This record gives sequence, C-alpha cells and structure tokens, in this order.
Amino acid sequence: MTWRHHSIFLSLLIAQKGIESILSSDVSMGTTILAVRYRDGVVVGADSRTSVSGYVSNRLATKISFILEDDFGIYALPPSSDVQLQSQFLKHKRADKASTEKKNTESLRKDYKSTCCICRSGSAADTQYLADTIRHQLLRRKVLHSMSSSVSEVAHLLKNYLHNDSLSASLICAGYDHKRDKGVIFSIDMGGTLMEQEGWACNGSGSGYILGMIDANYPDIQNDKTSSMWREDEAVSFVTKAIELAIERDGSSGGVVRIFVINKEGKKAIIHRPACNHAPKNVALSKFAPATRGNDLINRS
Amino acid sequence: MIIYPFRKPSSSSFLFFLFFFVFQLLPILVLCQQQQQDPLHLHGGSILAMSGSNCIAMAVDSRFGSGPQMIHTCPRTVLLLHSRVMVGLVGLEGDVQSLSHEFSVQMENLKLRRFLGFGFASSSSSSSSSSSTSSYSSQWSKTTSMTPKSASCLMSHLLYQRRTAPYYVEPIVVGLEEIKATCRGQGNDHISNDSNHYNDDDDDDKGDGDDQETMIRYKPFLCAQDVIGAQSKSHAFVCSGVAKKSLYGCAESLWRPNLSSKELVQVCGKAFLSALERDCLSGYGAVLYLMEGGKGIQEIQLSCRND
Repeated sequence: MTWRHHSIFLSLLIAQKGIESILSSDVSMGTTILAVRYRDGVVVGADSRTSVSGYVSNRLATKISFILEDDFGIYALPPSSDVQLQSQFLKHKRADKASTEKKNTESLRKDYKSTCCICRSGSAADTQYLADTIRHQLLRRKVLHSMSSSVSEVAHLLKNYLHNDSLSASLICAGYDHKRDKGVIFSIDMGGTLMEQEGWACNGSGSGYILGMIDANYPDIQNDKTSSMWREDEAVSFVTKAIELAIERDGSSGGVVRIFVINKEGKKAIIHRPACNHAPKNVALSKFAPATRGNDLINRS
Repeated sequence: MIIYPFRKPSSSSFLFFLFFFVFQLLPILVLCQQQQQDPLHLHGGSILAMSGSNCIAMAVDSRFGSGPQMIHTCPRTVLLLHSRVMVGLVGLEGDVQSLSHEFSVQMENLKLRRFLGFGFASSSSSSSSSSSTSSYSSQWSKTTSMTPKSASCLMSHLLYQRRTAPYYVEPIVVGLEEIKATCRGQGNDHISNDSNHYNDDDDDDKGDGDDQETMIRYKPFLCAQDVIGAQSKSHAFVCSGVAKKSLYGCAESLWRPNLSSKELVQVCGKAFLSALERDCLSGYGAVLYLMEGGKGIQEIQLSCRND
C-alpha cells in the first residue's frame, strides 16, 4: 500500500467521521454559537439543543456560562480606607435608583469590572467541567488576592486547561474587558489554539452554514472605527437571524435562540423563539404548545 | 508501489515484517472498525399511522437531509393506490424511489391483467377461457381496487426478493377494508376480503340485488414492515423511520379506541409533532393524510417548527 493510498483512505475516513458525529452515543452539543462585537461590548448567541445519538435529550439547554460577573455575591473586602466606599455603595444599591441619584452612583461605580462568558460546544461533560473549574479558580483569585480578572486572562487560563488535558471542547470566550475598555472575543479550538478575533467568532457544527453570511454582512472595522460598528439593536437582530438560519440547516442545532448582550453595565438576557412555518394553508392543532412556550425558559447561567 | 530491496530470509526479516505490516496496516485496520453509517439514518424522516373508527390518519414529515445537514423540505413519498389504500415509504431515498417505481410497475401489470411475477401462467389475451381464468380476469376487471392486505403482501414480497442486498426502506401500508353488513334477521356479516378472496363475485351480486339495508363499515388495516418485508400488523398505530422509538412512546400514551375523524387528526398530529420535537433527523413540516371510509383522502398541512 503506497502513501497515496494511505492519504486517500484517511481522508475518506475523516469525511465519514463528520457525518457520524450526529450519531455518537455520548452527550454532545452539536451546536451553533456566535459572538459579535458591537459598539459597547459584545453580543453572544447560541441555540439550545443537546443530543444523544440523534435523540434530543435537552431542547432548552443553556450553552452560555458566565465566568465573570459583576457581583458573585461575595465582596473581597478591600483595605480599611475603602470600607466607607463599600458601605456607601451598598446603601445606594438598596435605595431607589432615581434619576437625581444617578450622578452619585456613577461616581461610585467608576471601576467597571469585566463580564465574561464562555459559549460551549463539544462534549457537554467536558465543557461543564471546564466552566466550573475556571469559575472556581477566578473566584479564588478574587477572594484571596483581591484581583479582578479580565476576559483575556480567562481565555488564557482556559487555553492552558484545554491544551494540557485531552478534552473534546471548542469554546468562544467573549465579554467586556475592563482593562481594555471594549468588548473582546477569543476563540479556543479543540487542541488548545487560542485566537483573538477582531470582530466576530462562530463555532459548532452549525457554524459552517453561516460563515459566508456573516462575512457578507459584518461591517469593516479596521482601525477601530466605532462609527461603522453596530448598535445594540442591530447586533442583536443580526445574531438572532444568523442563528435561526443555522438552526434551520443543521440537524444538531435547534430549540430557541439564547442571546446575551454584554457591556460595561453587565449582562442582559434575550430569548428568541424561531417562527413556525405558518404557510397560509397550514393548520395549527388546538391547544398544542410548541416546545418553546412556557415557564421553562428561565435563564440560568 | 514501494519496492523494498530483496533480502535473504534472516532474523532481520522478522523486523521487516513487523515494521511493514504491523505499523502501517494495523492502524488502518483499527480505523476500519469504526461504525459504518446506517443507511436508514442518512436521509432522515418518520411516519406515523393511527386508526380511528372508520378512518385512518397517516402523518409524514418533510425533511430530506444528508446526515446533520438539511438539504430540502418535501413531504415523504406516499403512494395512493386508490381512495382506500396508502403506502408510506421512509428510508434511503434512492431505494424509496426504486421501490415505489417497482411497486407501481406491479400495479400496472395487475391492472392490465398480466400476472407476471406471481407464478400464474401468463395469459396475454383472454382467449384461454377455462372457467378459473375467466373468473380471475372478471374478478380484476370488476374490482380495480386492491385490498390493503394484498398491497401489504405485495410490498413484503418485493422487499423479500432482495433479501441479501435489501432496499433500505421501511414501508407502512395502511388501508380500510370494506365490511358489508347486510341486516337479515340475525344480521350476518359478509366480509368481502380475507380468505374468501376469489369468491367476491358471488357476494357482490347478492348484496346489490336485495332490498335489505347494507351498511358498509370500514375496518382499519395497519401494517409496518422492516427492510426485508417482515409484516407487523396492529389495530391501533404503526410507526416507521428515525424517530420510531419516540413515536411509539407518544402514540402509545395518546391513542385510544374509537376516535372520530376530527379527534384522530388532533391525536395523530399531536403525537407526531411531539415526537418530532425530540428528533434531530426529522421535522421541517408535517403532512397528515386522513382517509375516511366512503369519503376519500384529505391532505392536512400542520404548522411545525423548522429545526
């Protein structure tokens, strides 16, 4: 057998493996995840389907996990000179946020912290493990050393974990970075390759169907021209549309579109239900709720 | 071709053997043992058929894909033989098309009274007028409609013909069998199908000429088959396709006997759509064919998610 036969054979096997991926028996998030930068931060979106050999085991999964948030609920007490600052801040939190007090709260909240999330794709177990471990490490860092981490530090820590262990996970780490004062997006591939993406990143089995569409529609942001960057509503509608299209084409993506808008103020959750195919002659069954309606759309990050 | 230099057999030839065969061919043999893809799961698709009182509903989905990618949305192939028999086909699309073509050819042959492939002597004209053949030919000319049981047997026969290299299709044959109940005092039922297949002429003549009431009831017939034609019949519901397991579960919990046609549409549609929510390889639209005894077949499009 010559080397030529080797290479042809192996390339056929790799192609077949792509088709088999949907029928693997471990719980995998064949998925579509997308993060785009906009004027004030990033907008991240993901579908909500988790499947086991072609059977949908969770049709309302959350694939976006928050690693850094503004309040973990734990405040590492700074030196005594700042205790006054702390108590004042808590007082203002409890008081009504009237427009007259905005000035005071703004001056107190000068230091914005990073808000970072990771969009998970690949094996569900591996990515959940990674998210929990990283969150623990960063909380530890904040409590013991009073150091707030930035998105870039999160991404590098993730990359070290992925590079050392053989985990089947492919992630997008995105958020508002307080050290750079803008939104950043990092894409981490299966072997541990870390790439910072200037404008957008998408990953997962459904990403291939929308790469061209994003390329065509994303504005040119060379030299950080903020005027050409999207506003929040434009970015949200674009992410929604892109993930809807990927859901339509990809068998292992489905359910609702979960979107988070992340900027210096924190995070905001939006859930979008793709439309059913309501051709005029279609009949809707009585009292049949499509899967995406109801109280079970509670966002748990 | 890699040409290795000729060596005299020696102890080093064992190492040569080890290097060449074990380290080059063994990894390839190991990789070979990956799962071959199941042809029934390549294109996707599911069918559910349920029975009510005097009616049958068959729900089919519309996804045609290549593995995880959706390529086209068009409803699954459903052969409508006549207003009382339907055959739904799901599986590898190439085989679906071949099988439906073969089935149609057989139906044409039967209509033109060419009994090819059934073991009968081929009678090219009706000149051979022994009483048995004339009764066969008049039999087929009168009733151009095939019973669902016969259609099911024909489909099973076609599939088993290819036992060693099967069609990767799992058909569902459904239909309504006419039962003419003539009310004479004790109310005898003449069942016009089943074992008394060739005596239909006599029964038909008797029924038409009388003044007694003849109520026609329709008994549902449902039959699912596997790739080599094993028939499994049911009076309640049958399923086929990639979402088969989910469909059986949903249908089992939602079906109840003696459903009216409106209820049947709701029950069958809801069971079908609920199972499709949980399947990656089916969906993108559902079409329900409602067959009612004496009224024909109605096509109902259900609104459905597109994922």
